[in-house]
Amino acid sequence: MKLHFKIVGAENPVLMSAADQIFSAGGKRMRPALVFLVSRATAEMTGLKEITTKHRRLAEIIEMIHTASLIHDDVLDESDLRRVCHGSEQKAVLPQLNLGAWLLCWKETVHQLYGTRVAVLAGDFLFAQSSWYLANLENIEVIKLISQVIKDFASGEIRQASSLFDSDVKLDEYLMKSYYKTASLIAASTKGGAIFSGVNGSVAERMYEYGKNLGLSFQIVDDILDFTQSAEQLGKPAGSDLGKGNLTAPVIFALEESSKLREIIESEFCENGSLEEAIELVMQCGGIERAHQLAKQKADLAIQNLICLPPGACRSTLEEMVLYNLERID
Amino acid sequence: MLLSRLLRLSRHDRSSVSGCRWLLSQRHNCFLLPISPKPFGDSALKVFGCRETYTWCLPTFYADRTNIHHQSSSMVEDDQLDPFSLVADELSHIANRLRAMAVAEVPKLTSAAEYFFKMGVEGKRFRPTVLLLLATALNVRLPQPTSVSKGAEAELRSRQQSIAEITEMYHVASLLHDDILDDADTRRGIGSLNFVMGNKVAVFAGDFLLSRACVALASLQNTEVVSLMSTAIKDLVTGEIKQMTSTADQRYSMDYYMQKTYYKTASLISHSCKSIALLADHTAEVALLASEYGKNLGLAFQVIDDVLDFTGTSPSLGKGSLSDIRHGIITAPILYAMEEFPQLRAVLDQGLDKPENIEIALEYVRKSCGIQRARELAAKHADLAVSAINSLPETEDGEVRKSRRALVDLTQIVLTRNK
Repeated sequence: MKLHFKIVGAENPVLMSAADQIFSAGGKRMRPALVFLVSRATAEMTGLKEITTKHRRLAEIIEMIHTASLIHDDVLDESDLRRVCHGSEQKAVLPQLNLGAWLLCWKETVHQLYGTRVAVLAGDFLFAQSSWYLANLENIEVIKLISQVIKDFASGEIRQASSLFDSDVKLDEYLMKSYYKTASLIAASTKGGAIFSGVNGSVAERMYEYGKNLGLSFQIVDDILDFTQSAEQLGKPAGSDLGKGNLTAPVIFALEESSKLREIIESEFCENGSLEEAIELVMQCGGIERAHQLAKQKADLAIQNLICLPPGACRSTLEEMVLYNLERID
Repeated sequence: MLLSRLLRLSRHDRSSVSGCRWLLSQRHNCFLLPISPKPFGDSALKVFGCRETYTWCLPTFYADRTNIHHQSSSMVEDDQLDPFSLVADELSHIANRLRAMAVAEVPKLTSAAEYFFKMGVEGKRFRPTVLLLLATALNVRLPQPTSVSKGAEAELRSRQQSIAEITEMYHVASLLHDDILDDADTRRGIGSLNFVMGNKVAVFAGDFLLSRACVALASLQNTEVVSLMSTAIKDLVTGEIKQMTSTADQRYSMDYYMQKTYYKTASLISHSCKSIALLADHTAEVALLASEYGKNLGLAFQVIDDVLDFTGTSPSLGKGSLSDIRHGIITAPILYAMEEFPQLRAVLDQGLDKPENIEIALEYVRKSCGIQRARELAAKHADLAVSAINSLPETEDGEVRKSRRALVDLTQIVLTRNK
C-alpha cells in the first residue's frame, strides 16, 4: 500500500486534492485511508507512537475484500440474456426478437460466460487470500468483524438482486441493503483500526457508528449522483440503477408522491422513453432533495460519534471526510 | 434392529465353519433390507460381500465362540455397520442447522436453502461423516462418568461438529461457484442454483456461505485451527485456478494433476481432520495421522471420481458423464493412457472441443490400462489412509474402535462406489 495520507489541517489544499482523488475515483482507497486515520486518531489515546504493521495489514485486507466484492458484483446474470434468447415464462425484456438479435445474444452469452468465470475465480482468490491474512492477524474480534462484512455484502447483494423493480420497497429495507452493501465494510474498517490501537470497547463502538453512518451517507450520495450526474461523469449511463430495477432513496421518496412513477417502474421500462420519464418524475417529486436530507442526517450522526476522540488533526480530517462526501452533490 | 437379528443368528450356531458361512449369508441377506436409504447402500453390498466378511470374521468366531457376550461385542466390532449410520443423527442435526442458518439470515435464499439441504442428502455428506467418525476415533482417553467431564466432552463435541459444519459450508460454496464456472444446469438431479436464480445470486450465495463459515471458525477461538481452515479455503481456490490456467505441459503432467487434486479436494479434508485432532488437544503425532488419513482419503476419493467420469455405473468405460474430458480437463486415466500411447497427446493438443477427438481419446483410454492404473493409484492412497488409522494409539474403548473400523471401511467404500 503506497498510499500516504497526509494528516494536515482541513484547509490544506494538499489534503483537499488527496480527498478529491479518493472520492472521485469512486471512493477507492477511502477505506484504507479511514483505517489509517482512525488508527492514528485512536493511537494518540492509547499512547501508541506509530500505527502498527497490523493496522497496515488490516488496510490491505479491507481493500482486497472491497475489490473482491466489486469483482463479484460484476458477475453478470446470464438469466437476463437467457430470458431474452429463449423467451421463457419469465418476463421478456425485448418484446420482439429477430434473428439478428438472437445471434447477438448468443455471442454476448459466450462473452459474458468467459468474463463471468474469471470474475468468480478472481473474486474467490481475493477473498481466500484476505481470509488467510486475516487469520494470521490472530485477533478473533477483528476476524469476526471482517468475516461478518463479507457475509453482509453477500446478503445485501442477494437482497438487491431479489427485489428488483419492487415498488413496495421501504426506506428501512433500502437502508439495510445499503448497510450490508457499503456501510458494513466502512464500519469494519474504522472499528478495526480502533481495535488494533487498543482502545476500550466503547470507543471502538463509536468508531463503528462513525463508519456506519459515513458509509450510509456515502451510499445515498452515490445514489443521488446516479440521477444528477451526466453519463460522462459517471462513466456509465445516468439512471442506470433505476434502469436495472434497483430502487434507491430518491426513487423511494418520489414513489410516495407519484403513482405514475410506480406504474412505469412496474412495467420495467418496457416502453421506449419510459426510463427518461421516470427520471424526470423522480426529480420533480422532490426525490433528490429528500434523499439529500437523509444523507445529511447520516452525516451528522457520523460526526457526533467523533466526539470521543481527542481534538486534533486526525479528528478534523475524519470530520472533513464526512463533509467532503456531502459536497459531491452541492 | 439389525444387530439383534445378528445376535439371534449367532446364538443359533456359533461353533462350526459351515454355521459361520450360513451366518454370513444371512448377514448378507440382512443387508438387502435397508433400514433407511443410504447413499452408498449399493456399494456397501459390494464391499461387504461374502468373501471379504468371511476373511474378517472367521478368526473372531474361532477365538470367542464359547462366550456369548464376547461374541456379541465382537459382532459389534466386526459388524459391517454402514459408517454413515454411525453418525446419522449428528449429521441430520448439522443439516438442520445449516438449513436454518441459510433461511433465517437471508430470507430470500429460502428457495436456495432447499438446494443446500438437497446437497446434504443427494451429496453424500461425506466430509462431515469422516470428521464426526474421526472425532470419536481419536477419543483416546478412558471414559469418565463424572458430570464435569461430561460437560466438557459435550462442549468439545459441539466444537468438532462446528468443524464439520464449516467444512460442509466451504464445500457447498465451492460447488456453487464451480457450477457457475462450468455453466452447469443441474447438480445431482435438481437445477443448479446459478441456473435457477442466476449467476449473481449463486456467486453471492457462495460468498455468504464462505463468510458464515469464517465467522463460525473465528468463534472457535483457536487461531491454529483458523489458520488451517483458511489455508484449506485458499487451496480450494488455488486448485481451481491451477486447473483453469495450466499450460499444456502442466496439464499432461502426473505431478501437476496430483498437486491440483490435493488442492481441490484433499486439502480441505486433510486440514479439517487435523483441526478435529487439534481441538481435542491431541499430540502433534496424532494430529499428523489425522491429517494423513484425510489427505489420502481425499486423494483416493478424487481419483475415483475422475475414473467414474469415464466409467459411470459400468465397471469399464461406458456411460460416464465424460464431463471432464468435454471441458478439456485431463485426469489420471488419460494421463496413464498417454504413457502407453504417446500419440494420444497429439489428439489432446488438437483440442477436445471436437467430438471426434473425444471419441479418439476414449478409444485410447479403452485400449490402455488407464482406468486400471488409476484405480490402483486410488487404492494406494486408500491403503495409506488405512495405515494412518492403524497407527493411532491403541484403545480398548468399543466406540472408538467401531469408529476406527468405520473410517477404514470408508476407504473401501470410496474405492468401490460406482456413483
